Amino acid sequence: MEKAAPGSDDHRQDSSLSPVGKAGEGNVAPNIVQLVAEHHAAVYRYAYRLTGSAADAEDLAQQAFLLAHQRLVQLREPERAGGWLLTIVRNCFLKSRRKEHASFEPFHEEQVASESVALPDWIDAERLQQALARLPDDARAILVLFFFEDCSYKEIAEALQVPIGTVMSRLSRAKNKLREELSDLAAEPAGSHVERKQ
Amino acid sequence: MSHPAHIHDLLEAFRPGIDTLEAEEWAPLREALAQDAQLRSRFESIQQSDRLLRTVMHEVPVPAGLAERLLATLATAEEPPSAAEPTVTLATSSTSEMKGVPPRRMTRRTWGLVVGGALSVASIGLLAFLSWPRSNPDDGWMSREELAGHVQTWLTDQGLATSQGWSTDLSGPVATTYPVDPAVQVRPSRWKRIADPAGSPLVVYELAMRNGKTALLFVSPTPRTVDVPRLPLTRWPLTGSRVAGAWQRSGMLYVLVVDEDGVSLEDFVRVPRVA
Repeated sequence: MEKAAPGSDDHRQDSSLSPVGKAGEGNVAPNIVQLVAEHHAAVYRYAYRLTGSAADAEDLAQQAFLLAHQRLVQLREPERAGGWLLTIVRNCFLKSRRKEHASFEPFHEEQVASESVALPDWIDAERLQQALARLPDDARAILVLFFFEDCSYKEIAEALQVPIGTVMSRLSRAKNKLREELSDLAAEPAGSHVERKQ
Repeated sequence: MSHPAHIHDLLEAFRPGIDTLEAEEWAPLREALAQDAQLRSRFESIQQSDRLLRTVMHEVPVPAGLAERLLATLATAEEPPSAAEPTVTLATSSTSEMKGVPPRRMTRRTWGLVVGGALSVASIGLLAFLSWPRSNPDDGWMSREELAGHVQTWLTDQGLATSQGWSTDLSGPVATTYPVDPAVQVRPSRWKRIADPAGSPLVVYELAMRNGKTALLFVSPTPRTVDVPRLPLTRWPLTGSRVAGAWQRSGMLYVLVVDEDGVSLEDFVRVPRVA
């Protein structure tokens, strides 16, 4: 997946928007309606994985498209619109989380199994979300960036503004923790995850 | 064989189908894999897990009507408290669609973006011109096609062609019962009540520019939700050089008909925009 540079939504706001998109270097940028039509599902899915809640995901998607509309002129390469939108979603999410918390809840070593854990034979979308919900914000964000947006560890470091080495170790632990949670969920009787989640 | 933590981190950071072990940044991992069959097995297991997780990660059901709600949210910037409202060009299409679905919920952040932002309402007009999947209309819903049919009927009303029945009293009850939308920037010169085959109350205003060009503004207080935006952003061609534009706001349906012979529809209406 093509991606815009992480942090690109921090660019200065440009209000010179056009209802039909801006032409540039032979390309005609899509308008916001096209962006919504083509990318609302991906944006929502990404937002849902980040927030873990349908209501929050929709709010985040709203926020992202409003920002995208404002900054449409920054979209120089229309074919990268999808990645550009996901970057906006991600930055909106991270910004809101930073406001809510002074920093991400850090991983504690004891939270992670020392040995690599194998993934259960079968997982589904709901179970994955349950497992993600059990993880600290930091870990969940890293995993969603890695698995959903296909960010490299370098891109994750840039997006989260943490050193590359820190991201690599956190990514490793987060993936292991996710597998661990998925294994636990697979072993739990149906319905018991709800109690645990609370 | 034991490996430093860095190798394990590389193992987990490698993205199947995207990264290649031949790249320089993966050289330590490549060398470790070449020497350790157990590590290779684990590497393959992780790659397999990652592929599965990546697939499942995208499996999120999208709520019905999401796109419409997002578009409606974008459209909420339509009524800024600005006195100086620049006119923007109306888009042109005959396939306009937008259903006035209210946004599910607006966060403070979202409102801040709307109020302080640079949302150009003109682009929302494109909502009306793109094909959009509709939900099934209910009894209180009027399609664009149905509206177009009504407009054709209104225009053939015999009363329009005569000078009788027109009133120049624009300050009476008509002003409150059939208010002219603030987006209309040409003052009405006269009005008359005409019969609507569907039985809805209907008044038509004649808008007259100083150069003598006129337009007709149909105003109907209808409880039905019409498949038009809340701004005068849509238009469709009628016969000859006549075009119609329609919008619905504050319980009133507005249809503006202009003969674009030396004048255009947007000469009669303006669309507010957040500066």
